[in-house]
Amino acid sequence: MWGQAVLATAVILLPHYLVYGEAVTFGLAYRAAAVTVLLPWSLARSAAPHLGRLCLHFFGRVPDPAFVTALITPLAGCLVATGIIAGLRTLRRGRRLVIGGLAIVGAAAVVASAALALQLGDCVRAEEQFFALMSLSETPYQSPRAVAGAERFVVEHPDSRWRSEALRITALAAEASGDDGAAERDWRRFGDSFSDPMVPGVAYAAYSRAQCWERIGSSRRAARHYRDAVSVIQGRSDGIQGWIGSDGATALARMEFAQGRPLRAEYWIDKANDVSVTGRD
Amino acid sequence: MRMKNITWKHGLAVGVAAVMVASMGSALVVVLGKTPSASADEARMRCVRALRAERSWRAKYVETENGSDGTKSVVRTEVTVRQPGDYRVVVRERDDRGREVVSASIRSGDTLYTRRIEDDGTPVLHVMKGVRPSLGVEMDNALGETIRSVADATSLRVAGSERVRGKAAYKLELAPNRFVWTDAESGLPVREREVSGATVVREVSFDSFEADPVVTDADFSVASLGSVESTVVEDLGFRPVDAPAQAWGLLGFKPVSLGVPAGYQVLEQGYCDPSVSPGDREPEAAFVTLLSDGTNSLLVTQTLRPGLGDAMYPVPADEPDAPQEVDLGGHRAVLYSDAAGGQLTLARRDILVSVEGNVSDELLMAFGNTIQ
Repeated sequence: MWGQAVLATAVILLPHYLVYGEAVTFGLAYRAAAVTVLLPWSLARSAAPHLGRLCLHFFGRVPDPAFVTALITPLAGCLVATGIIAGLRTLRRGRRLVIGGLAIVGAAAVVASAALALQLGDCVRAEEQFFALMSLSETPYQSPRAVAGAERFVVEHPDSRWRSEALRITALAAEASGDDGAAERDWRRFGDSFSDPMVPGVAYAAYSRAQCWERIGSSRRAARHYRDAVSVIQGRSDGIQGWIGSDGATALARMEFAQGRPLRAEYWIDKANDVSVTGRD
Repeated sequence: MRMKNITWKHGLAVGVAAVMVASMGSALVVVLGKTPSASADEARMRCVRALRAERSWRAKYVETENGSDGTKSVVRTEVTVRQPGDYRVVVRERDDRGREVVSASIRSGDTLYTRRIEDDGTPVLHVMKGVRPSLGVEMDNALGETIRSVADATSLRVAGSERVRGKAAYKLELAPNRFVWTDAESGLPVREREVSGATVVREVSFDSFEADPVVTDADFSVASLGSVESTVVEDLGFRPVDAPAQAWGLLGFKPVSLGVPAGYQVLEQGYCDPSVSPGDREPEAAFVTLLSDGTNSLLVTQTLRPGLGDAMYPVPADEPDAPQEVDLGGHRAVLYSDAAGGQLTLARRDILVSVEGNVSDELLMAFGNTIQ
């Protein structure tokens, strides 16, 4: 991501170097260097649209990176640019181009790496804190402190691979409090956090959503999600989380009986007992 | 030398001719190839409506499942529907020893008769009585289930058009691993497939469909199933009554009273006996009413939910296809609709009332307003 940005900036800058040579002004170099350094910093800290995120940083709408970052980085860029230009003036044009380009790319890489390291460090620390909080209780979804921590983690670290676990906690907590609407929403977000639609987590989310809908009262909607859950488990050969397929098929059988369709109910009972669905072979 | 004679006019003429030839060629390809095209909503609606126009029909389909352990099962089914809720289903499959086993079922009213061959070769009649009434359009077979799946698929899309058994069909994607092919002309499903990567896990091939087949009363008699050596009876607990008041004491609660929309009549009503545990399932006390105008049906199910009062469970609002919360005379209700119909749920005095039907949202709402 930052590499692309550096390349784009270099492409913008190169004609200026090539055409004007000595005429590269301090102001242009300052702006170029500042943007070249700041842009990858911003990009490395966010998956949001790049330029939009950058603008938001400048206007202080997004607190992270902090205002200080937005201030210090251009100043640092200014200093770097001044140093580079002073050094480059003593060189011949060809060398100036090569060394100037390398300096800009190198500085951007260093800054981006540092930003990434800081970001990863933040995320790892937050994940450690999250797990420490969750391990305080065997049923963290019953602990208000753990649930609050999970809710905070979901908001503050949307890209963390443990976001799904935090959503599972918040969904279970909502279920425990009887808020099936919120639980259904969090189970949906939990399912959406998996990029592969055929993993057991997606089936678990569908199964849990079906249960919420059944409690809410929409049997049609519940049947749809039970069907999705069974379909995902049936499509797997490893037998992981086979109970979801079995229980989902049993629930479908129950709903078919309630709808006056006994033959389809028997079909789903057979399915629930089928080892290819349960994975209990 | 000749090149000098070619002017820009010649070039323009050649260009225009080339464009015309290309246009005619494309038109020819479209006409001869009969490439079908439809939006997902169009294909969905044609599929949902395909069976509604038919009261009596016969379909044959083959269901193939490939197990994770390498096993393969092939089940051939023939369904004959004389009228909604009155059907005969014959299933042919092979047992573990490779012998063909035939089982046949007949549904008549609230009873399902099935003749099966047990593992020891004995023919046994299984009688399932006390079956709840169902919405006529929602058939008790794989064809009906496939149509229902197409009707309520959230992210349905047309994944292409192909020829299935020589006829043009739309390939509909229900989910990343589920596909249904529908006949471009009739809208009926012709194939359903569930995959795991490149492996087909389950496939149903709907091979034939016949409207208004010739059927006789004898075809729908229990005797037509063949001789049996014993009979097993299972009670699912549904008990028809003439009036809801007959069920109060047995049910444990007083069902809410329902209005009857103009043109509709109560076809069947009854309660699910809470003292009966069908199979190993927990008993459920419910009062069920089936209304119909001859074409469309409404199925009303009332169940006791202590503590519910007149409130409804909250519904997530930030979902694109979430049910709508609607107001019925100052009471909150939840309306869920899909291409096949809708479901309205509301609470009255700890009773959760579910109204399902293959009708418009407006009729569902109007009916909901009659519930006291």
